Amino acid sequence: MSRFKELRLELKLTQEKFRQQFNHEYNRSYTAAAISQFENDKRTPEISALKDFSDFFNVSIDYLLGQSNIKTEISTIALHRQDNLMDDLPPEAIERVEEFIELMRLKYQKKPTTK
Amino acid sequence: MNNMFILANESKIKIHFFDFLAPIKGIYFVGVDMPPVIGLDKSLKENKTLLRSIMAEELGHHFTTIGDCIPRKFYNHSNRLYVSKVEYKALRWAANYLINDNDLKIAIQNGIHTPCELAEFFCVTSELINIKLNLISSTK
Repeated sequence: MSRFKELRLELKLTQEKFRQQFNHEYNRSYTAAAISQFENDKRTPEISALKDFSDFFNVSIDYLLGQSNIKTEISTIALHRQDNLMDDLPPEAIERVEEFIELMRLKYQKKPTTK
Repeated sequence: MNNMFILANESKIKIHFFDFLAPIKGIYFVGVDMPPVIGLDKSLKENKTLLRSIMAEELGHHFTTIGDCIPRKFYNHSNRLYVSKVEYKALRWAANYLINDNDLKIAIQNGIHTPCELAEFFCVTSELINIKLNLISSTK
């Protein structure tokens, strides 16, 4: 099952309801066919829309695209870094952070999420 | 240093050392259905000053930003400004926690003047000393 569908079902929304809500909140005009294609992995939303979808579902874009298994059900995250805060983090460093988060999640999270 | 571990323990914060990659030295995060976690880079074990400062800063996040949302968006440009504001709050907390007003006064009275000397005296980074000095000057 695609992440789109999975996340929509988690919110207990029908495809139509989701479409209306999303279009309304983010000023988009997706058709039912487009949403269905996203859900069936037949089409990937454009980059700007991905940002909105990730915002809507409250997950990372990576998770949305199936690139990462960390859903990031994280309410607060703060990193201490020893360089300019405005620079982009190297992807490997981010990966390592995700690894750590996942490790901690497995260790401490009370209800193991079934995935 | 021990005080910080006790404080973390009392606040039910889990602390773990981990091999992070540069430039990341520490992380604080709260997930769903789990206790807050502070991750510290293993290299910090060799550097007491940095360890103290970063640990205090991560604790600062716990006490200043809990409930706030800096989720995954952390990596986005649009949220960097917000992040730096949150970072500053945590730093301020750390500076106040590690550097007591009275101790600072005594240190200065005893001829420890420069941020560098003060940093060495308090065993913190000079960044924290500068923040503390700024805080003090703005509260007077």
